[in-house]
Amino acid sequence: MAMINDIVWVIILITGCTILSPPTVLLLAVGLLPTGIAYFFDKSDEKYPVLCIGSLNLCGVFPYILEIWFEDHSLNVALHTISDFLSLTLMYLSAGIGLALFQYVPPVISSLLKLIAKRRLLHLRNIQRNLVEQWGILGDEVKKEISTKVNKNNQIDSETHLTPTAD
Amino acid sequence: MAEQPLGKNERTGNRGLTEPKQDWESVESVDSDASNDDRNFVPLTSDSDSFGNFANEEPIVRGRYFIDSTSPLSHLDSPTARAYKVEDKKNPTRPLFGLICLPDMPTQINNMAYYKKSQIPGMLSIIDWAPIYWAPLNQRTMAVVYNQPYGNKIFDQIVAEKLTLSGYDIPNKIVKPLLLLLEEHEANNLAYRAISARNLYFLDEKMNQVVLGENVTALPGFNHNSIFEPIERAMCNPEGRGTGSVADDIFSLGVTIGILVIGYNPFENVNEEDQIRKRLSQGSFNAIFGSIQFGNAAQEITLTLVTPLRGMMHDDPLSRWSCEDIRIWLNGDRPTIASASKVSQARSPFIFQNKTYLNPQVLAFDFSNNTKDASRCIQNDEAFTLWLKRGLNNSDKADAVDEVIQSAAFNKTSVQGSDDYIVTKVCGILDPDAPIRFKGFNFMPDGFAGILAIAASRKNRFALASEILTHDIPILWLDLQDNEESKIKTMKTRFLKLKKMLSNNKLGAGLERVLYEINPHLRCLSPYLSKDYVLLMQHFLPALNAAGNYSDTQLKPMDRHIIAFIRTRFDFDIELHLNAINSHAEDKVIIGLLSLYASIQWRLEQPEMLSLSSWIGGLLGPVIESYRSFYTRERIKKNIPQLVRLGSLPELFDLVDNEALRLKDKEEYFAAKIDWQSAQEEINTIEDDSEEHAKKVENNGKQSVVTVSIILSLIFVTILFTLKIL
Repeated sequence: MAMINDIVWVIILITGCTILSPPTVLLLAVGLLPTGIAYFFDKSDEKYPVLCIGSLNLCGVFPYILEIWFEDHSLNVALHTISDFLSLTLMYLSAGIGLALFQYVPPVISSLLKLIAKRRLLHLRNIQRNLVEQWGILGDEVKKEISTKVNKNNQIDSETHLTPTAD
Repeated sequence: MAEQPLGKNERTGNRGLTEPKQDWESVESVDSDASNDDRNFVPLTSDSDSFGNFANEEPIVRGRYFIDSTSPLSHLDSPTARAYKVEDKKNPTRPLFGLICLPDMPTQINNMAYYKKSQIPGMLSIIDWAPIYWAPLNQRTMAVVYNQPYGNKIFDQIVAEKLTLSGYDIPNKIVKPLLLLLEEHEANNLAYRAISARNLYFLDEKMNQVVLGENVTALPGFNHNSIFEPIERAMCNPEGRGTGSVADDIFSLGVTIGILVIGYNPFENVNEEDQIRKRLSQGSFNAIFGSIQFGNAAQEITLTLVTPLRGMMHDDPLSRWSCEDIRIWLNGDRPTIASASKVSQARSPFIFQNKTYLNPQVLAFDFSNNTKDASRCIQNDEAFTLWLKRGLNNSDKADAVDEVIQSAAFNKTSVQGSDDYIVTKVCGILDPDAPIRFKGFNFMPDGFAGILAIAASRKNRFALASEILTHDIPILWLDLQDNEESKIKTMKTRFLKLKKMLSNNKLGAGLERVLYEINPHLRCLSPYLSKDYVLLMQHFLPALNAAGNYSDTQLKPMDRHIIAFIRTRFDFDIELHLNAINSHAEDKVIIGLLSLYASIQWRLEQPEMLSLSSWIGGLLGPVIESYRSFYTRERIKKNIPQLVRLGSLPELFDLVDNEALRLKDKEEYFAAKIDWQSAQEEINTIEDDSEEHAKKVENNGKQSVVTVSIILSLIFVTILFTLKIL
């Protein structure tokens, strides 16, 4: 029901915009086509790819929209723009940059963080090695202490179980 | 070196008065067995050359009296000591002789000191004494230096028919000088316990002055032929005869006089057991001299001697002559005439092992020698209790035996039901004056120390001797005594205290502690010190230091004997050291031992102990390992050799068990453990969440990229829009 509601509102908004500025709607419809396709294929909840592609795609379309709004508000200009190869290339290239950013930057960040963790591990192991060199095997000692405690607890438990109750 | 080591001593023509079996020969054989045991117990380096630290030691007592091992004086030997010529370095013409004691025989050091100081008439004078290294034995042993008598043994002169003593000679020649000695002993609450025909010497060549020979090289009464002992002590093992009193000496004097007069031992051909049976059934005087005519001369001589001998040899110590009675007799006054020794006889006989018994004491004696049969007879044969009731007419004894039988039946599986216990108790009821008889240990309560000392020295029945205390055997005996209540009470308290001591099995307690507690002059019997003769704490560390040269240094320089010896002889509180020594942790044991020895060295201001330092230094591994820090351990290891070379145990102890260092080590270890643990936790977090973490990181990356894209686009749009407007 909510989805139908949304669709109705989108139709009303598009219809309104089309009545107010048909060249803008035409330009946006053609220019933001990559964003639309991304929206169609992106099944994630967060819609990160759509947002990333969409924001950069908008950067590519926006100069032409400004031209329509401030210079010649006509369908001819809009048609001329969408039929111009360079303009279309610019609009779609910006969407491509968005896609590329989304594809390649996160793995780079992840690798960087992994590298930092690895260095930290080495540092910690070095600290442990130095401690063991001076004090002997500390880990086993700690483990032993823990296991002794556990054994003691188990013993107490078993003794408690074995002790016949008053009943 | 043409030394005359301790060989056989020929004694011919002694007319039946042989010394008891505990002579050098027999004890040497036991001793050699014991030393074999020692070798098994403490592995010694195999070659005897390793005992080199004694090799150059001369046999000199206190730097003055040289004992010449090449000049034996066999006529002055005693059963437990060999006599050699002594040269006084300050006065070479002085006639002296030295007695070399058996190493494993406890000597009477307290008496030596007393005799040396007092110079009592009537006995050979002790000049000096000290433990010395005796090369023929290849070990240290006690040497006692005496004034040498010019004359020979009186009995040897009689045997050689060079002397005849008549009844007239006895009072002035023999009894008078000895009475002075006995009175001196009585005044000091002592007993000589070595008065016998073979231990009397002429001090001068003219054979006028009579003196007694030595009495300090063995336990009291140990060297006696049993004929010289009162009946109750004659039934004891030689080592269990006890310190006794002057009353016992008076008995010995009586027998000695009789034998000197008749010139032979009337019990020459009678075995020891039959001697006892005869004495029990007839009374000692009647059994030994009853059928003998004293002197072949006039009848009055016989009469002159019979009364004193009866008085001196009375089997009841309370009816026996005292020194005062002897003095009266010597003065020619009319002495007390002692009644004949009481011998109880039953109206009807009791048959045991096909022998008929009328005398309960003899029956008790044979019961104690045949424990199994006796126990069966007591428990299964009602005839025994009937005989006590009707034959002996003693319903009290019958009731007491009944009680024993019932108790045994009720406690069949415990000690009270055992044959030995039943027989011990019944023998006590039958003959309460007889010694304590349990599992072959026959002893008077004051002879328990000797029993334990000999059992420990010879290692044969030491553990078995502990049962005497565990099962309260002396208390059983004391409960049956009905005289001298306060004395009995004191003895009971003492035995109970010893039992309590025995019940603690830790090092520094137990049977070994009992041993050294009741034998204050016993040398330390530790196998480590078997070649030495350690009597005092001052001797202990130097001896152990010397033992370090030939002992297996992989083993700890301690055993139960050493710790018990220190506990009883060291006049300082060592409880803390003992707690550590008795710990289960190896490092604590070594630290406890080192601290104890360091304390001894420090308190007794003793010089460096190089071998002992090295020995203990080699055992410090677990102590060093008890430090957590590797660097601390390395530093200690590096410093140990320097301190070992100094031979100072206190410094060694301070190095390995410094309190501040231990505290620092503990605290730093605790901090290190925390550091290690927190590092480990961080490592675990990094390693365990790696995949999830990567996903999270990637997601964050995507989020960041989207945010950056949106911000950039908004900035771009805003700038373009603003530019268009302007």
